Amino acid sequence: MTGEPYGDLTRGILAGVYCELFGKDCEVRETECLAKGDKRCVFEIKEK
Amino acid sequence: MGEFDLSRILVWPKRKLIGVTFRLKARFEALPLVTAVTSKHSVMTAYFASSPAVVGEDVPGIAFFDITDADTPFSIILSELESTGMVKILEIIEPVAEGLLIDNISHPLTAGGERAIILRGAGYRDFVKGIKEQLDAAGKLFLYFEGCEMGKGYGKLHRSIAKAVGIKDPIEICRRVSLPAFQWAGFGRAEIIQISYSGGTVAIYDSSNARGRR
Repeated sequence: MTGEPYGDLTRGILAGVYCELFGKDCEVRETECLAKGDKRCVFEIKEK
Repeated sequence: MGEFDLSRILVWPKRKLIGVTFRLKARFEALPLVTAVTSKHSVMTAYFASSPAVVGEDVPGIAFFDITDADTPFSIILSELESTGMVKILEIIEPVAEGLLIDNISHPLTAGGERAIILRGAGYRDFVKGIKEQLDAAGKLFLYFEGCEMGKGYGKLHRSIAKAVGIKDPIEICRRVSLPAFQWAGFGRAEIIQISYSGGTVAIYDSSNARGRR
């Protein structure tokens, strides 16, 4: 178990899919992560 | 539905196994006619997969048979199968040892029209873990930007699939194509909590990526 999110690859994948489909740059933040002891990983996508 | 093995490897000790690749007519009566022949000769279909990425006149596929109890030589059974007019046998896959059959015919493997490889979880986790441990913060950035490039590729694919069935709105593409495709690829079970034209929130359950750290 670690204190920080671990889903960098997944963050990138979600950013890439969103960017491609919506034609907008975005940033993705991981707010919950299995690796931190959460029950799931949650990613927030925000347009830049 | 629980786990799903990609298979194409069959380990059935002490059984006589054989495989074929084929093209099957895309007709409702094709499969019943073919299986009627195998069952008549006490041949059990151990594995069957078709590969109809695009629906056409016939469908490529692969099948593994257990011929331990067959009452007729397999070459004759193959002739009978072809005489139905529903299937054309392409190649025979011989067992590498008694009870062990591996598809070493299908090449290249593809998914969504692109070359695909099967990367099992342990290899994938070690790959990601190694990058993070060796490169630290740079590794995290590297994975993020590599993920972005992968994601853009997925986005293009998802849009083209969606277009083929009349879905154009990016929100609908996300919900109906990208979400199930994410799970199809084995990354984890995804849920869109909310999505709009300015962002969204996505939950991933049992993420293959985060599992590497637990």
